[in-house]
Amino acid sequence: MKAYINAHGIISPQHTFDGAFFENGPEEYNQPQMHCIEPDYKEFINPAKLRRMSRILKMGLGAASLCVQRGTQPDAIILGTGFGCLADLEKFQYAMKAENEQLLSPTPFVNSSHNMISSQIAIALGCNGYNMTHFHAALSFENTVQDAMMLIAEDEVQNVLVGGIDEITEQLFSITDKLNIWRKDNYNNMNLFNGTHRGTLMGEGAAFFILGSKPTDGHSAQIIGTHTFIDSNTDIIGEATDFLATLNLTLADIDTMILGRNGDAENDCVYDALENCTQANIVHYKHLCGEYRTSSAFAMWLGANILQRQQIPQCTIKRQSRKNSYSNILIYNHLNSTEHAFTVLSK
Amino acid sequence: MKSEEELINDLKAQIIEALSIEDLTPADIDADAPLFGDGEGLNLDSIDAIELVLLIEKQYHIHIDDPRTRRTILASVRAMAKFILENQKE
Repeated sequence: MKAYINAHGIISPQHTFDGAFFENGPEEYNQPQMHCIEPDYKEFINPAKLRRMSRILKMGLGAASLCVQRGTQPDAIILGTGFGCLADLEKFQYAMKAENEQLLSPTPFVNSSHNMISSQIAIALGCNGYNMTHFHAALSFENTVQDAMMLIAEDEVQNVLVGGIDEITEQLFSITDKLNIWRKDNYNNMNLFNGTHRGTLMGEGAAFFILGSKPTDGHSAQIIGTHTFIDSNTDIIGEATDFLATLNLTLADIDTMILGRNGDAENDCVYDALENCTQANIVHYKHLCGEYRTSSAFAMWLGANILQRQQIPQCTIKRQSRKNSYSNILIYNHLNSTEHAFTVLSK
Repeated sequence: MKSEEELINDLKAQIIEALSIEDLTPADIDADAPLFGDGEGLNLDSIDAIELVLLIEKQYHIHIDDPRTRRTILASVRAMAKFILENQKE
């Protein structure tokens, strides 16, 4: 079971939408939240529709439109999100309380459901096929990819638009901040991994991919497998080894690992065993996009670019031991040492 | 109580805010142009109609009892202003 990444479109806290990130380097942040750098949506979205859309809808439709422009019209749309259209849900719930459940505006309510983003994309693209939204916390994006790969494997579709999307809201930040998961100081994203600290930076993003059963001229990589599991006492090396064996690979075949370290000492120690058991290049990405439930979609975008460009962006390298060529990338991310996800990309 | 023209100016600003119309200023809105319909006036739709009914209820405390009258009340900004003036309590 495999799928080719034939196009991608991404809106993130970096200049990724126009590709300037690779020429100009990373954007620096000195605050606990990393908000997306957004394009002028009027170039992609009908202005009459735009006015009623929340920010996450604009981000989703903007990134999806760019992806389809670079790729092809999809037969199906599958989306992963941790919290969905949270800003509109908050707006709607606040209004319910403030107005004593009377005189409620319909727009935030209509926009507050999780599957609103994939629905709006389907309407905009005129795609009447399979339309699904997965919201499985930190495994949302990998389950989305798995769903798409099964559709392709069963010859149900040729091209699937998949995406991972989440947004920052002040309410989400203040509630989750009570769990002490966000940095109280040392906010600089480019120094996220320096020193031993508690907490990380909150992020957001929308990353979309056209996955196809066949490669196109512009394809960047192929996804050859994903594996997710929920377990707080897992032997990560054993799990990775077993997963790679199902793809006829070993850890020695992996030349680059993209790991979901986020600068929180307790979170990051889970990656140590895997990092130290091979000589693979080690790449980080959460200092570029922050921590959010579907951040592994950013990792997939980064991995696809590494394989296509045969170059690792300097600002993402933690350890570089193999420089000649990049063929197999293992992406590993976890949440709270409990929700784990692996994805393997190949050239 | 405000005059019809003063109320029209207030309504234009309130409509722009309630419906998140970013590209228009109150001066761009013709008080007599139809609010709804393909390619006409502000080109609003049924969701916008609910937002406008809520605007009248919240801002002017006037409840529209008969839903069948909404089409007439929301025909234009001037029609909205006339309805509000006729129904507003002193």
